[in-house]
Amino acid sequence: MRIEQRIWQADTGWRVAASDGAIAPSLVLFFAAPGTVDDGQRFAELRAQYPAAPIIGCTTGGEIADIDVLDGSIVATAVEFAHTRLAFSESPIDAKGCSIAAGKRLGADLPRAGLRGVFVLSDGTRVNGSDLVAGIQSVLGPNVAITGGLAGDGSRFGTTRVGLDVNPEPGRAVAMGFYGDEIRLGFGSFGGWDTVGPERLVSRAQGNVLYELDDQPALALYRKYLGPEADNLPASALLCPLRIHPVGKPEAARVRTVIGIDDAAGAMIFAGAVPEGHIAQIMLGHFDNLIAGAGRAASRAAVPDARLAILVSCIGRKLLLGQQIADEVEAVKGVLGAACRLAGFYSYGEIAPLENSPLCDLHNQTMTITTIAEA
Amino acid sequence: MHRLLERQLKQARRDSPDGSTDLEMLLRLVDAAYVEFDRQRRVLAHAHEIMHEEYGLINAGLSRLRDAITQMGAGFAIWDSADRLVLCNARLREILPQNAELLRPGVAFADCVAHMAPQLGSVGGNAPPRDWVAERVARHRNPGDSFEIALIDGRHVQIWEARTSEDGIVGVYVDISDVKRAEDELRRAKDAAENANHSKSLFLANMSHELRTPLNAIIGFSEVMAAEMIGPLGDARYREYARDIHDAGKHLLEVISDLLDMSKIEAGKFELASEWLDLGELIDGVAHLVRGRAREAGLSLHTVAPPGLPPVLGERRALRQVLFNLLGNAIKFTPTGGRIEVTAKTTADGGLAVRVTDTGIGIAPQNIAHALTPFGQVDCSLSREHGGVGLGLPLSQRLVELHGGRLEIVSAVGAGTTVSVLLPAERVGQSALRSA
Repeated sequence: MRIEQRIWQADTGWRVAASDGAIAPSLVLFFAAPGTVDDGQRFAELRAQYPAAPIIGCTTGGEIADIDVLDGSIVATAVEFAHTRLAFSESPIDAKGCSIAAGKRLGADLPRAGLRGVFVLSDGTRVNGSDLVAGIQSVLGPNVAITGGLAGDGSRFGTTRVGLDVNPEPGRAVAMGFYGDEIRLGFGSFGGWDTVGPERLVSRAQGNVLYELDDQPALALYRKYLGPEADNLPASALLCPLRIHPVGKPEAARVRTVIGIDDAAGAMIFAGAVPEGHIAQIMLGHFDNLIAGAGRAASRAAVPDARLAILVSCIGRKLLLGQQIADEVEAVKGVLGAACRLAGFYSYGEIAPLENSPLCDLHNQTMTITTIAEA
Repeated sequence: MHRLLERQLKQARRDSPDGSTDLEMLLRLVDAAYVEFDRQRRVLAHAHEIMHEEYGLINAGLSRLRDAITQMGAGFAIWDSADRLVLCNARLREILPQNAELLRPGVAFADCVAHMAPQLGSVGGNAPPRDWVAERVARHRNPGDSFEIALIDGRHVQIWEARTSEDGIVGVYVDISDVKRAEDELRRAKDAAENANHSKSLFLANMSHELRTPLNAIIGFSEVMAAEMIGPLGDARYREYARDIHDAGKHLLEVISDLLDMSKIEAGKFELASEWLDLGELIDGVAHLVRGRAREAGLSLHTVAPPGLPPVLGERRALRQVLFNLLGNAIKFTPTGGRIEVTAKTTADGGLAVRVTDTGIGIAPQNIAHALTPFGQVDCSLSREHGGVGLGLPLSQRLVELHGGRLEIVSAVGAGTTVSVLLPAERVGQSALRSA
């Protein structure tokens, strides 16, 4: 397994950041800042560099190149497997209602024999991530781990792009299957956010729209929590995710991220469902705990001799940690070791198996890591 | 050196073409970090403020709960998943004074139960089972319906337990001794009342037999004597006395019948044998019976029943008795020269009204309710003057009510009384009864 990592930045153009020497890549994975791939020029350069390799990638809320967190760049990682084979599938995602169908199509178009794991990239604003994952898993069954993430658009929540062998476009989802007996995949996902304040009842909600907590408008509560940051809604709501769980079942908790607000209705719109009758608690990020959380995700994901780790971390973590965001990537590097190259992006949602469960789901506000090694 | 500054220095060198430190770039990065730290300090300060507020809310909620638990009239306890006491209120210690010392946070439920076992009395006459402690602990871990325990000091405690979401147990313990006592008293009172009622029914049934038998002899033989069936009595006064004996006997029989009917109604044992009746015919029949008495009292008696009056579903004997009583009262309480009128007609709501109107002494409004009470003849002097035991009106009212109707009295002292029997629409047929 050999790796070459190239970084494009506006002032320097493409440069090689890491290389195992001459490479015949089985895969090129790239993560591009919003705006850098609108005209197709950078993709054409990438294709020219790697004419024979499948190329998949998406837009981001920030790019990860080993221990550096970049903005406005493209991080492309070429991987040459010795034994492992890959297969790809793709689907349009044009309305929130079709996410399950899109997931089923992605799953159905991957050969089942020898499938060891699936990595998914999807449009980040036109998808119900939970449904997409459920759709894939309904076809592939619970024994195939699914990881990946939702493409980003900085902190704007506008247009996100995904591409397989073409310049990334809005409204696409792609899946990549890993095959062969020699591949070792590891997964880890962890948040590290702290719940604060009292538990509240989700007293009025519909789908992913939350109207009231304890019979009080949810938006007013968020404004109170955000204080001086309330003017930057909805982006600043990423600083305060919501932890929800059914009454009496805290072990089944999920973290939900705010992706929009409805001022007229006093409502908050979340990346996933917020069921009425659930218990909800607002979360705040403590820097040290978030950074330690990234380390815990790495510990869970660690496999022996991992050469590449794909990091999908939440945009909310980056907004909160600011210049210290590289600390969480360094924490991951510290666990996985120098031999493991890191590549990744800041996302609108992370996909990984649930802890202690074969089921996969969409996560929010986590550091989610997929490690790859070949025996 | 702070790792952030190290990172900034690294970036300032990397971005400069010759590898030297780009001071301007470094300052921009450091400045941005300061700005960010300011922002974060604001966010943190605000978060601190919010937490202060939220803790206030949580504490207010907690003290409300604590207050409610302290003030509630029942004993209250929470046991954790290891079945150790988390908290209980003072009321629980009052209810279980033998356990008061033991009931401290951390005490095992099983220890409390073992300590309680000697205090147990019988429940419903059954002594507590030998393995009560084990049973009680098992029931505590798998709570179901509420149950009661009895203590040897005579008190009863009702226990309700349920599982908490943390796999602990919440329990509510209510001293129901007062309720139990009241229940017992109520049961005793009910038994006594039922016994008394039974005795009364038995007594009346016997009385009915014991009174009617000699009365029938008196009535029968006085009639034989008055008619001089076997031979002349001699003096004419004997004949008159024999008639008086006969009349008095019949009156007594009526009073006894009324009494029996009244007690049957009150015992809920009076069942109507209803049939379709021609009310006009019934009125004429009763009027015919009392016409002689009215004439003797110097009263005029008129009946007004329009032809084509719809049939009524009722008991012939009961309605006859009602009419007989009402007419009897009218005759009794109307001075000589007065007028009595009986009318029958359909009402607006589809029912039927029979009205007995007299020009008698009348009843004062405040006395009408009294007149409807059994044995409540308005004025004792009246009964002395006019006779009767005051059963006529109340019995009539009950009989009408048994038909789903009601009795209405409109009266003015010195001007007269109208008593209306109002029968409901469901007792009134569609068309005139075929002439029988």
